Amino acid sequence: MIRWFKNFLLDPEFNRKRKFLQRISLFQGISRLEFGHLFQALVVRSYAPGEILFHEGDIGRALFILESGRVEISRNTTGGDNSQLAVLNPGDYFGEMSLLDECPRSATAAAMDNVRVYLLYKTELEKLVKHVPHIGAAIMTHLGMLLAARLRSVTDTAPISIASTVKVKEVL
Amino acid sequence: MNLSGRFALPLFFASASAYFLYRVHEILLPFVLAAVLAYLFNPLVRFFEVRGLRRRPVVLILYVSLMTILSLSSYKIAWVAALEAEEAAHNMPLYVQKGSTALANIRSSLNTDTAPKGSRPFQALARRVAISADFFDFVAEHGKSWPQDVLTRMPSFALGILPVLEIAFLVPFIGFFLIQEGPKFRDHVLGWVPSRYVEMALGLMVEIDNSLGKYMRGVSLEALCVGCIALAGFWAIRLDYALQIAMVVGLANIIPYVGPVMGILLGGGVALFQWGTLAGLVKVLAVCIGVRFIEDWFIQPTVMRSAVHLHPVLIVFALMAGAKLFGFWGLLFGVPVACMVKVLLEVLWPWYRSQYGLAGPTPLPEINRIPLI
Repeated sequence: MIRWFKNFLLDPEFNRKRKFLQRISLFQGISRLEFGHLFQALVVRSYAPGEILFHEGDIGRALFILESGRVEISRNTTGGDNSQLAVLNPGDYFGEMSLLDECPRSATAAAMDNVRVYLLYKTELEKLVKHVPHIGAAIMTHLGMLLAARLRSVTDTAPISIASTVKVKEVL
Repeated sequence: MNLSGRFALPLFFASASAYFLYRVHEILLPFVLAAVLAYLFNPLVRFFEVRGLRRRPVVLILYVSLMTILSLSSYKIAWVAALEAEEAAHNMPLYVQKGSTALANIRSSLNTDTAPKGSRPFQALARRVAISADFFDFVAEHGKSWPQDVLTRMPSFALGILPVLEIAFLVPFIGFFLIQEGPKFRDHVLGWVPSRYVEMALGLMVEIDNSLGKYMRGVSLEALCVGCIALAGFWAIRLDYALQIAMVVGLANIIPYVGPVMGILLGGGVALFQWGTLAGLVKVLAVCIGVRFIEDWFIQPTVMRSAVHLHPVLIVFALMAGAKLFGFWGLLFGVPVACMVKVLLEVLWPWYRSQYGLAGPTPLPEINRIPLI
């Protein structure tokens, strides 16, 4: 009876989603209840193979977390061709810089298979920062660390004379 | 596809949908009220959902509990209202006589002969009161047969409240499905949006959802607070039917600025019948002004802190435009619609500016001044 009641009340999707998102570095150190708040902020969207998630130059306002399928990241070259930058797999996330600013995307993302993604919209993250500060701080801290690591990798490879004033373009 | 071709089809569908909705706007009321119910209910469902419980059983259990409570309290309120209506019908001739006497006293005290010379406002008031006294003479004349009149008109009255009953059943029914679907409904809608506009559509949905949710929950909480404060005030001055008048004040407060005005009208009328003196009217007036003061200075800044802010002139314009287009319901929903329009502009205008290169994000001032260390 208790087991039936538990099955009736408890959401099996909750644990499945939690197990999946726990593997992502962005959501490390987040408690079960905080994951509950995070799920409320996430929106699910599916894409067919070949469908464009966003184009290079579009204004970005959301972070994409790839749950299933593969996504190709590519950029237009000066010759007008498309050059593939990366192929993303389930568990990868992209477009995170749009959570910090609303700059145009610097690459195009296209679905290679049937793709299912979670979208975290900027305003929803701001709401999380306000109402569940720990989860907001965890995400923001991780984004800051990621940005610092990317900057360091760019400045380490760039000449010293321009390293101090180099304008770093985020990958996405 | 060129720009005009790309926008022509969505624009056609949007216009056709808007026209269709306008043509059927009379049947939209239960759906709109159900959406309001869903907004009010959602935080409660969310409380359990974030703890890993399934939405459907939570909604079912909460809904059954709430409906049971509402049905029982409606029965109780109807019972009390019936008793008080019976009492009011019994006391009606006495009340009318009291009111008539009170107005006659006021009229005589404000008589042009006794009023100070050259006091035109007093004379004008006296003339107005004289008209009211005639009205009360008319009521006194017909007051004796009032209970019988009400009884004979009861069948037509019952038929008149049928649409209200229809809404009372339809709204919880539609509301149940809206609450149950919840975020799935949002995901479905987002699935129809062309992938390129997903982020913009998501932005619009999130912002409108936030602003409408905050507005509706804020207004409901504000109405509850105003009703409770008015009740405390009316009880303090020992006004008859304090609970009923406070309920009307709270409900009327859903329309901005109307609640305390209703309190003055209803409370003032009851005070006139009950005490038959100007002092009673002044007491009611003081309570209603006090309620308005507390609402403006303490409740609104707290409850509506994070809701969309509209300038008072815009609120009045929204109310008048709503009333002109859709009558009472336009009055009720004019302000939330104005909030939605404001959010639409706030989201679409920056998107349009950045999309077409009219303006980019402002660069941080220290980026070129402080070296990267």
